[in-house]
Amino acid sequence: MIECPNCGFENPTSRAFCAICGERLPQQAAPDAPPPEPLVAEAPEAAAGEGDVAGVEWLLGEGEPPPARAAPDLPPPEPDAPPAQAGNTFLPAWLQGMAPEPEPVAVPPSDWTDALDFSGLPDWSPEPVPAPPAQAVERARAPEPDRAPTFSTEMGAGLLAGVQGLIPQRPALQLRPGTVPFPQGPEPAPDGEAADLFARIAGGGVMPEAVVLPKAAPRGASLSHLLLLLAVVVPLLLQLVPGLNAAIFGAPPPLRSAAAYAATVEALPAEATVLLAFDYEGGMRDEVEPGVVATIKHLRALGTAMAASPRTLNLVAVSLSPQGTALAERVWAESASPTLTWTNLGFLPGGPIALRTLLAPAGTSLNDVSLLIVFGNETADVQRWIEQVGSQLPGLPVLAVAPAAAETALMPYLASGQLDGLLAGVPGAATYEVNGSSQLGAGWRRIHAITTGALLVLGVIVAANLRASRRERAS
Amino acid sequence: MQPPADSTREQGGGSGPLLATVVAVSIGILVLLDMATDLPFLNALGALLVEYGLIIAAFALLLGLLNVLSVHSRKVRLREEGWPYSTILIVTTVILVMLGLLTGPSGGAIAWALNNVLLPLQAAFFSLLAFFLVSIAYRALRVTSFESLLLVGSAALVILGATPIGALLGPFFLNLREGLLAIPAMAGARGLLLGIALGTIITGLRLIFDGRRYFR
Repeated sequence: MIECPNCGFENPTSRAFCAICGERLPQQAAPDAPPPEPLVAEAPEAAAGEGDVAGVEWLLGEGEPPPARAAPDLPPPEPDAPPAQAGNTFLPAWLQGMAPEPEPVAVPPSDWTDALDFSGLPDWSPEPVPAPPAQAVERARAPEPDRAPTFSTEMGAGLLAGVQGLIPQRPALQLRPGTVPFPQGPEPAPDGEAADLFARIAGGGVMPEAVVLPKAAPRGASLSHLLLLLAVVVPLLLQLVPGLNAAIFGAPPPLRSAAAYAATVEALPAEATVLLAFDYEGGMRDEVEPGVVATIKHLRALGTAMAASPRTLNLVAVSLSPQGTALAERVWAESASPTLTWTNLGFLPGGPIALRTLLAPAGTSLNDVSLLIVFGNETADVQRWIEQVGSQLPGLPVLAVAPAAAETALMPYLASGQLDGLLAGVPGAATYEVNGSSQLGAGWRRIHAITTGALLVLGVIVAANLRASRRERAS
Repeated sequence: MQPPADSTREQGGGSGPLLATVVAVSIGILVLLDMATDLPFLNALGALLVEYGLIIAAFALLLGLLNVLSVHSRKVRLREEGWPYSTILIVTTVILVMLGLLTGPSGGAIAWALNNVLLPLQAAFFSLLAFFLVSIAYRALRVTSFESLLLVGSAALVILGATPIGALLGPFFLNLREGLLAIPAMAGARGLLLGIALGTIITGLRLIFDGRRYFR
């Protein structure tokens, strides 16, 4: 054993640095150390003539033997050393003699850390730990005849007194020089905040036996749950009383985009084909379908003899969404009228490619279409019709019914004239029903529930801010 | 030692990837020329290629369906996690496909399934968003600075402006909402649209002229 001159820890003789503090240990000269060998050391010879290695390539990887790592200061192999100690030590003893002779490997002449430049490191970086000399490494790796298990670790006291162990004592953790082992972190706060707990764990302190996390304030949780419940339940309850919402809130405001939508529908010629793109899906049905139904009802009203100028309208439905075909049939079943003709082209796969085929000379021509109305699930559904069809047919009016969330993204198309009118969500449908088609429907019924919900959400925001400011003042 | 076959594939070697690249790039250029020019030959060729694309898209849909069935069949066969759900998916798919083949895509059985299964489930799933939004409104929309005040105030203005509350508050409130949507919101939306358009152009050009990377 070598005692560390810095910390006094007793290290095994094979170590060049202290396992605890990293201090360079004084080298003990081997009692019978041989003179330095050349850098390329000859590997011990395998026992010759003990078999053919051709049959054991699978044990040696690609058929090449693993290079032996011989050290320059290795003592010469003893003539009576067993073959298992000399060559491929990973092979069982009965295969040792079958291994071919390994090739010699060059060992670096000096410590590789000497060639590195540490001047670029910041001041706070720890001192670089020099790698142990190659000789020491090789000595540690090389099989030493005197390092056979010696049963030297004997327990001196306790229940295991007198028991000898096979595994030599080794430190569990090696630190660099100057490192303070196990720095103590700050004590955790009494209420067990997560940050303090993390700091304690990261600082290497002892884990507390039981961590009690603070419980959420029951008062705040109940308030948020109550507001959440009110925001959902109150609009539903108000829906159950017909006319109550309208009596409270009145009519929706006139929206310019909805007014332009109604004006474009009214401007249809006496005989017209209207192409309806059913591109929304069931999840958005409650937000989009009020506008869809209001549009069909408006077109139906234009076809009746009671209209100021009765029209002959052909409605052609097409869908780029797999659900669109069934949704179109569903809407038509609710709004069917003998004054309108209805054709459902069905689902067209391919997205924008399908739209190109509608414009192609060999496909269905859109030259006879007087109006295109897109019922979209999102902004992109409307955009692709504007970009692929509207851009190719500049005289074709394009209208859209989309969720309210798509209104902002579709505003530039409205402003540029690429989109002639827009019904954004239930508010757009309600405005259209009141000011455009003059037939109240689902939009009118739902706008008041949405108004109540919006007011409650704003109330939730105000309550949350008041609660937060009260907490800040209290703290 | 010879490199494995996959290595050649990774490097884009072999005649298969090269042929796919040549076909894809050529068709891309032809359709682009069809859009950009008014030559009858190119227009007819572009229209034909687009129709081919439509047919391939339909087959891709069928291929996707078969792939879904294959993946879930394997899950059921190997009793992987969630295999009962995979069983339900397979049985439902087979039943609906059979009904669709017998009664048509808008037939009574399909319409029944749409009205009584699909739409209620989708609506229920979508309605969960209401709880989520209220929860977020309670937890996240805190007025702690002037910017956050602008955010919350604009949201309240736009939400209420489209409802009867906006009509009750008067024309100034409505004009303020219209102004918010027409100027700052539209400026942001235009920026987004321009960015998306530029990205689409660059992606398309890379797909056409650097197709070797994509069509291996």
